[in-house]
Amino acid sequence: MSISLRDRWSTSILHLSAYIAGKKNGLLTVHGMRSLLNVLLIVGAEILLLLISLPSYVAAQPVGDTAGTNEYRLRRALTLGIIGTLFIIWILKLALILTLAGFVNNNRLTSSTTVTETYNQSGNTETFADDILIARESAELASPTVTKIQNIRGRIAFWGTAPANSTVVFAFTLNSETASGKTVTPKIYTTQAGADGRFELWEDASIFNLPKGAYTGSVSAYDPVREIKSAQSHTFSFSVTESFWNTLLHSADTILNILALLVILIGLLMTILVT
Amino acid sequence: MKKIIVLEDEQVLQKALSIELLGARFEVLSALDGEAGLALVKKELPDLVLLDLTMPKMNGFDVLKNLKEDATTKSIPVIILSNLGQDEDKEKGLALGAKDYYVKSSTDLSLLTEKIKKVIG
Repeated sequence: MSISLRDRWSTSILHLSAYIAGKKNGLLTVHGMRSLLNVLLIVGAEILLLLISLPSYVAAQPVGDTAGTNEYRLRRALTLGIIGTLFIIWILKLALILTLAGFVNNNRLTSSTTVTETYNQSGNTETFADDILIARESAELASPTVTKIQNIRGRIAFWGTAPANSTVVFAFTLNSETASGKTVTPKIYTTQAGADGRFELWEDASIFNLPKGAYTGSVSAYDPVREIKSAQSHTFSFSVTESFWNTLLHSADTILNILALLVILIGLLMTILVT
Repeated sequence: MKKIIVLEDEQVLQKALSIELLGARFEVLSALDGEAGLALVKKELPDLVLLDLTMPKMNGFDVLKNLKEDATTKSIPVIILSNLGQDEDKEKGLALGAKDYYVKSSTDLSLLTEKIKKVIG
């Protein structure tokens, strides 16, 4: 005789419920830590029983099965409702990640360089960031001016003017880091001024994407041919707030965790109340 | 289709038993306490009763005794499936007229289903 998956499943429920009943009966015969241990074992076994028995709520109501119909329907509705909600949230989250990946990658930087102390002291061969750092400051190159900062559909953009064809170097510091007294590591991003001296820098996940917070920024111009840089511009400030999609994604995690906890607690509570 | 009544107060287990027996092509009815179970058996006159012993309102021994004292239900085979595994419980159950006695913690439901098929085949 072959033993089907259904046989194994129903037998495991039988054995687990027998184990719980045995532990409950023995609860009054032990004291102290053993009693506490038994309570923990019962709670653990109840949770396991709830998880194992989930398929019985998913299965159709057995024909002619008359006992506890209302409780069964309530438990089934609750379980299916919560599982369905979890599933929908997972699907939505997956869809958001696949279609709006740009909103998810907050800290991905590809064509920018973060200057760190280690970097400065490492004695690396010259890099673009090193070039800017060691370039001679010269009055021959005027400081750029940031004329507009705007948040457009969740992306922060900067506009301004600089010497024609110069490299415009943005340095951003997070105000909370400055206030904490730690060594502040500015984030450096560059863009190119056009022949008319105008420049733009757009927040883009593939270029730069600042974590949320209040920032102070300044900007300078760099001429790679003459290897000179301008003085820092006036400082400007702006705030980065989390986009709706990021908030939704982060909330989805919290909602999922709360729902998962609810599934266990409701099942546990109902098992205790009904049995 | 043969009809079985499951008298089991633990709902999760009762559903699992129902699904197991439905899968074996039996019609399944059930009750969650002794009193309701006794009334259901007398009303439906099933081919077999699967009986738990520890139940609210009326325990399984009393249900069994009542069934065996009633001329309309005394021929219905009863199989006990209980947590009580003491010899005296088994002896009492069989003495009251149960066809067989299974202890939950050591029972394989596929074997129990086979046994049920043999009894009411």
